[in-house]
Amino acid sequence: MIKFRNVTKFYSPDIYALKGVNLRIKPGEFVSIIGQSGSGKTTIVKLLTAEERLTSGSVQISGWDISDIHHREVPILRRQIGVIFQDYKLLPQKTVFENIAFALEACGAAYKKINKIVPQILKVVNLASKYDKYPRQLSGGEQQRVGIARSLIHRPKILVADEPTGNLDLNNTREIVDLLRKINELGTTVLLVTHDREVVNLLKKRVIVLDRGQVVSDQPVGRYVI
Amino acid sequence: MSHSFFRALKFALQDFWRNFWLSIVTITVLVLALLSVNILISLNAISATVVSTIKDKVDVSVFFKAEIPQATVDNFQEKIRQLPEVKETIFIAKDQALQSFREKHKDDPAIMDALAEVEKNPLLDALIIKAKNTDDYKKILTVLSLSENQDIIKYQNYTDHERIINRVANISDKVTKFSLVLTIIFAVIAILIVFNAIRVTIYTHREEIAVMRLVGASNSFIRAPYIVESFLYSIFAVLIAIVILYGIFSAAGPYLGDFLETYNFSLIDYYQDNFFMIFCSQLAAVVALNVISSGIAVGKYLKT
Repeated sequence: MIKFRNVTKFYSPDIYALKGVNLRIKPGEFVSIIGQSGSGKTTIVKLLTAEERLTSGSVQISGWDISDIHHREVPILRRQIGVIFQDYKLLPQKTVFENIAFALEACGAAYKKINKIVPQILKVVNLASKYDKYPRQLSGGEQQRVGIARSLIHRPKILVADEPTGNLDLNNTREIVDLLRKINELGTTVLLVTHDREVVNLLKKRVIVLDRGQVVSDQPVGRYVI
Repeated sequence: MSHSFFRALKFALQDFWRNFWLSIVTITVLVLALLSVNILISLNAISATVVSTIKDKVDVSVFFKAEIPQATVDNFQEKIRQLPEVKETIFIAKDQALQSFREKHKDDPAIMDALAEVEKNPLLDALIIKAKNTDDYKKILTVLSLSENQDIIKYQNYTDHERIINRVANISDKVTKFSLVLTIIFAVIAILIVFNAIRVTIYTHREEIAVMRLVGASNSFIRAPYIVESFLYSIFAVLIAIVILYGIFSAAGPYLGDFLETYNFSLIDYYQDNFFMIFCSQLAAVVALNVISSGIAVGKYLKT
């Protein structure tokens, strides 16, 4: 599903984020990537979403080598990967419904389809009653659930969550983790980038530890051990 | 295609309304730029009319010797009329001139008495010559100074006129050049103001643009609503500018009236006569400028 082969990313000749990283994530896996600040966690997410280009090596997603992806193919790639962000990245001038619908509108979906799918996904994240609210009218946990709903709207095979609980309290964190677990149980590969010890220990799933841009540990059922 | 257009229009209208104050500020800047351009257009129109009226009042009068037969005068008039530089020639017979003179001075007993003392008509047949351009008078004067023409001309009033003609031509030339320079300066200022206004508007949307890209929107899908929105700004700005200008012209009409009536000129009439030319060209220019500005400004945030 996801393959990193000897991936290196330099931001400048003396500043590197990843150095010879090899990873293989199978379909349906739930993988947590942990590490201290500057260890290269977010760079992995940015390489997967083509926000950054790697310096050497290769990255494959479902057999598609995105190492040298053409800029016109980037939107197509991003529609196939669901991404959840620490700061939610919602459109402030759009309602909950419109934020989720936007991802479908961007790929040319018909309004009939949008009006059918969006309410369904809102029910999944338990926000059906808040469809007409703006992000500023929601709590942090609710905003993150909108982000999750938006990331799932294309029914992606891969969900990448970059510090999704970073801005949330314990109750909201648990809710989000439960939601991610359910999504994974339904067959979606989940890649969770976090430095939240509680979350990782709660999951009891595969844990990859990064340190200074290199994989230093990869355990099938791991715990937060930094 | 129409699907994408209506979606872009929907997003543009939503953004226009939901960022109401930003829209108002952007439109205000556009309106101010348009008003400055239109004030310049008005000044140009007024100065062009004044110069044109003064030019129109300039002519050369030729007075024929009394004994010259009418046929010779007619031939001379025809010869002058044929000159490419001549706009029109008006022949005034001495009887007609006397009648006009009497009519003009009928309330002045001294002049009327003096005229009665002279038994015959003291005035001469005259030919008034108007040139197409003030520059053309020099050529006409050269033709008049030919000896064959001097034989039938008793007197001509163009010596004083030459100085005035040259002065009017000089002023007209300076006004034209000054207007051109001022127009270029105003146009550059207006372009910079509009470009900056659109750039600032797009700048406030930079994070939204980044989010749109992250959720898989293509560059054209992101760009289209902003271009449609800038089109809306342009239309509203031109409409508001029209309303304000007509308000200004109506309010200023009585004050300008005395001055402009002398020249048979009204700004409202001028704008009504040239409405489509003035406002369609301004709309086209503002739309083009806004669309290009927003395209460039959005493009800056679309680079991978």
